[in-house]
Amino acid sequence: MEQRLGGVLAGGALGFALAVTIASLATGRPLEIVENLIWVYTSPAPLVNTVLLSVPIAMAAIGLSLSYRARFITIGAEGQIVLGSVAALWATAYSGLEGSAALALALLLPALSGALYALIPFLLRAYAGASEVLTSLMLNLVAVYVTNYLIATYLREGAFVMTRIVPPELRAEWYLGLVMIVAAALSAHLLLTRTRWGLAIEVYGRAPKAAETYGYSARQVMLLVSLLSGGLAGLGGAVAMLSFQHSLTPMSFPPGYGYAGALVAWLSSNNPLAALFASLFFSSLMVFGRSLQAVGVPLSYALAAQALIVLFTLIAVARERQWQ
Amino acid sequence: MAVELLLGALVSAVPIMLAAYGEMVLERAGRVNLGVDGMMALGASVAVIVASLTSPSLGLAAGALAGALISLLYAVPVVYFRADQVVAGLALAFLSWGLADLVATLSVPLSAPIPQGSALHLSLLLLALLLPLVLWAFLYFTWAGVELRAIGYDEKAARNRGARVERTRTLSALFGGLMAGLAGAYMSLVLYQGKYFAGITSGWGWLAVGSVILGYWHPLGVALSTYAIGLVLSLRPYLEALGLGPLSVSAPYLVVILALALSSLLTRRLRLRPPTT
Repeated sequence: MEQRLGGVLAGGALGFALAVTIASLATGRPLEIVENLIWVYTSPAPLVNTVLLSVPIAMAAIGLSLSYRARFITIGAEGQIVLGSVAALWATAYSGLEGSAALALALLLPALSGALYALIPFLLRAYAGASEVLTSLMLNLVAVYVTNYLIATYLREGAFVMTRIVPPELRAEWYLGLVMIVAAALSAHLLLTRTRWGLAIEVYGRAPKAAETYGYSARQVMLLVSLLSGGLAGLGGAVAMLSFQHSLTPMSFPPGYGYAGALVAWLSSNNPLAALFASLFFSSLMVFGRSLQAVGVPLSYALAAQALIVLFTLIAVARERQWQ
Repeated sequence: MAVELLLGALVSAVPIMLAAYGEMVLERAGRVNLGVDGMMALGASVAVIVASLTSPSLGLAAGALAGALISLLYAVPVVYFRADQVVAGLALAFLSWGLADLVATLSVPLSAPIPQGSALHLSLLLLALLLPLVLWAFLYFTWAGVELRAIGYDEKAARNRGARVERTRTLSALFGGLMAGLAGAYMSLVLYQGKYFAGITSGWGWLAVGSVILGYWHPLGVALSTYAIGLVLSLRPYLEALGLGPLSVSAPYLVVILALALSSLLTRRLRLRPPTT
C-alpha cells in the first residue's frame, strides 16, 4: 500500500509537471501560467471553487470505487451526473414546490434518476452479457443529447436556448457539498469494512465463485453497486446544480466530472477515503485549467492533465510491482 | 434517393470504418484500446493545422501519424508494464481530447478542405472498402496474421510457441492509432470542410469500438457493421423531420447499444467463444 502511494505521488508529480510544461510551450506564456498556479493554491476564491467542483467528482469516484471493487467497470457516472443536475433544476425551478419540500425533491429525484439510469448497463450486462464499459460510455452521450433536447423544448425559457435559474433561496452554501462528500466517503468505507454487503462486493470482485458460496449472486452484487454508484453520481449532479451551476445551456460534449471521477477511483485504488483527497486534487486542476482560459488554454485541457497524471502513475506503479 | 442514401451512408461511415479496422486488429491481438475517440480528435485537429500550412494530403498523413504517436502512451504502459488496459485507454482518450483542443488553439487555421467527390476523397472511400479485404488476407493467410490471432486467442500458448507478443501488440496498437488518426483527419478535412472544433468526433470513436464487437472481430463483419452504423447516421435528417430535434443525434448510440446487447445474447446462446480474450 505504501509502495503504491509512492508510485502515485511520483507519477502524479511527473504528470503534473509535464502538463504544465506542455501548456507553457503551447501558449508561449509560462510566466502567467505559473502565476495562475500559485494563485489557485493560495487564494480563497479558487480554493472555494476547488471544493465546489470536487463534489460531483468525489460523489462519482466514491460510487465507482464500490463498483470497481466488484469488477463492474461502468464509466456511466458522467451521464448520471448530467441527469442528476437536470432533475435538481426541475425540482427547484419547475416543480412549483417551495422551501424544504423543493429541496428534498431536489436531492431525492436526482439520486433516483441516477440510479435508474445506472440500471440500463446493469440490465444489459446481467441479462444479455453486453460489456458495461461500452454501453455506459455511450449512454453518457445519450444523456447529454436528451438533456439538450429537454433544454430546447420543455425546460426552455426566454428567447435564447437556456433554462430557468435555481431560485437564490434554494441554492446550497459551498461547504454543504464538502459535508456531503465526507459523509458519503465514510458511509462507503463503513459499508465495505463493516457490513455483509461490503464483504460481498469485495469477495465478488476478487473471486466471483467464492461470493456465490456466500449466498450472493453476481446479479445481486452488480445491482447493488449499480444503484449505489448511480444514486451517488446523481446526488453529485444535484449538488453541482444547487451550489454552482444554477442553470443549464446546451452541451456539445459532457462536462467531465464523471470521467474525472473514474480516474480518481483508479488513482485512489478504489479506496473511498483516499478518493476524497484525489478528488480535491483533481478539482483543483479543473479550477487551474479554467483560470488558464484567458491565456488560451482550452477547457478540456484539465481533463488531459488529469489523464496524463494517471498514465504516469500507471507506469510508476507497474515499475514498483516489477521491482518487488 | 435510395442510391443517394446508400452513398451518403458510406461517406459518413468512412471514419468509423477506418477507426474500427485499426481497433479490430489490436483486439485480435488480445488488447482493447478505449482511446479511439481521443485519437480521432487529435488526428482531426493536427490534420487541419498541417493541411492549412501545406496540403490536404499531407494533412491526412499528419493526422494519421499523430494518432499513431499518441497511441504509444497506451501501448507502453499496457504492453510493457502490464497496466490495466481499460484505465490506460480511457486516460488516453481524455488526454488526446485535451491535446487536440490545445493544438487547435496554436493558430487560426485557414480552411483547407478535401472537397467531396475529389480524387483524394474517392481514394479514401476506396481505402475504406478495400482495406477489410487486405486485412482479411493478412489475418488469415499470412504467418504474421496467424501469429497475431494466436496471441489474441491464447497468449501463453502463443508465447510458448515463439510468438513475439510484445512486438505484435505494440505494432497493432500503432496501427490502431494510425487508423484512428486518419479517421479523425477525414472527419475534419472532408466531413467538416477543413474545420476543427471541440467535440468534433461526437463520440464516433465509441461507435467504432462497439462495431468491432458487432462485426465479430472479422474484417468483413466489421465492414458490414460500420456501414450499417453509417446508414443509421445518414437517417438523421429524416428523424429530425419527425420533430425529434437533438434527440435524433442519439439514435446511432441507442441502435449500437441495443445491437451490442442482442449480439452478446446471441454469442452466449450459441456458446461461441469470441476470437479474442
